[in-house]
Amino acid sequence: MTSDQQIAANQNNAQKSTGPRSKAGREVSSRNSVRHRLAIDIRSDPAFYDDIEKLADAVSKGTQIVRTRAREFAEAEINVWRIQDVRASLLEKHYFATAASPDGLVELNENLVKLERYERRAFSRRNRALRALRGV
Amino acid sequence: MSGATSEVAVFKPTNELSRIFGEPALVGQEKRETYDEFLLSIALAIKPTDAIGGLLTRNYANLAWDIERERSIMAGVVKYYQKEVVRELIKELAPAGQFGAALYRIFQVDDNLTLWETDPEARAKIETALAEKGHTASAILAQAYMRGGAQIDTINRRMAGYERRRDAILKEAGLWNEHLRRRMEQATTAIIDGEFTEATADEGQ
Repeated sequence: MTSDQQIAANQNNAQKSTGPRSKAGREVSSRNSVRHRLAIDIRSDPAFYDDIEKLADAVSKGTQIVRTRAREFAEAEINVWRIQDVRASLLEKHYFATAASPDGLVELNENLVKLERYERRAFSRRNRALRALRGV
Repeated sequence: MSGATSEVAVFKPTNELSRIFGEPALVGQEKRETYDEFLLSIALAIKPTDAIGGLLTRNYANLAWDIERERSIMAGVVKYYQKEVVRELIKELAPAGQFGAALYRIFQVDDNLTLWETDPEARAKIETALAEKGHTASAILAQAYMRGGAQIDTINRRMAGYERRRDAILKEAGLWNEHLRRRMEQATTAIIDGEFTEATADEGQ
């Protein structure tokens, strides 16, 4: 499990990162979020606004949980679901909807390995948000 | 903090919350009814008492579902490579003589492969004939595993990742509510394994 110190160090290092330097690299990275929208922060996607608010209501209703914390948890939780949906659509597209082939399996696995990075981050964020709720 | 609460007040998602959950992320031949029954049996075993417990229970069930899905994909991958190996070896069953062997390769290999796949009786005969040539069923399976090794390893790593996440949920659940963690742990063996055994048996009927 990532410690608070490690999280702070990671955030600090991330501030120093300027991303890809070459024009080609910048073009590639600019298309990342368009490909599956996962790089877009869920808070800036209006499609999720209502669901986040309603889930935050459900989590905080009848408890002493602070609204801001409940919203952070709801964002993190819905982000986990969003990734699960993307994973299912990749499985459907590259495995279940097509005749099995080594190429198809390689493509599926490559895509799922990429998704894994987002998934790990989303789970860690959700667990941190849950621990923050307990701290209230 | 809404930690330990009474066991009597079992959390049930409101219609609004169910709407937010949306459709479950199912693929291939997975059935909504099977998923709903599975989720319900887990929820009944765990008996979450608040919204957080309900969400953790749902996450826990989804990861169990994902692990079982990956097992089925892995079985499919092994079956695919097993068929590839048999497709090559079955050519050795050609009758003696150049003309007969050529005809067999052109007209009968695919038919025999289909029979091997679909007809248990024909499969047994083909496997006996292959074993007589030194290609036992276990040797064929071993070759299939070797061919699909990279894919199988990747699937295994994914499954290990889901298991780690499921364990992490147990840990988080324990910090939130010890009762919830204990119920989840019991559900792992009593419910999840049992449900999938039943589901597999149903599909085989």
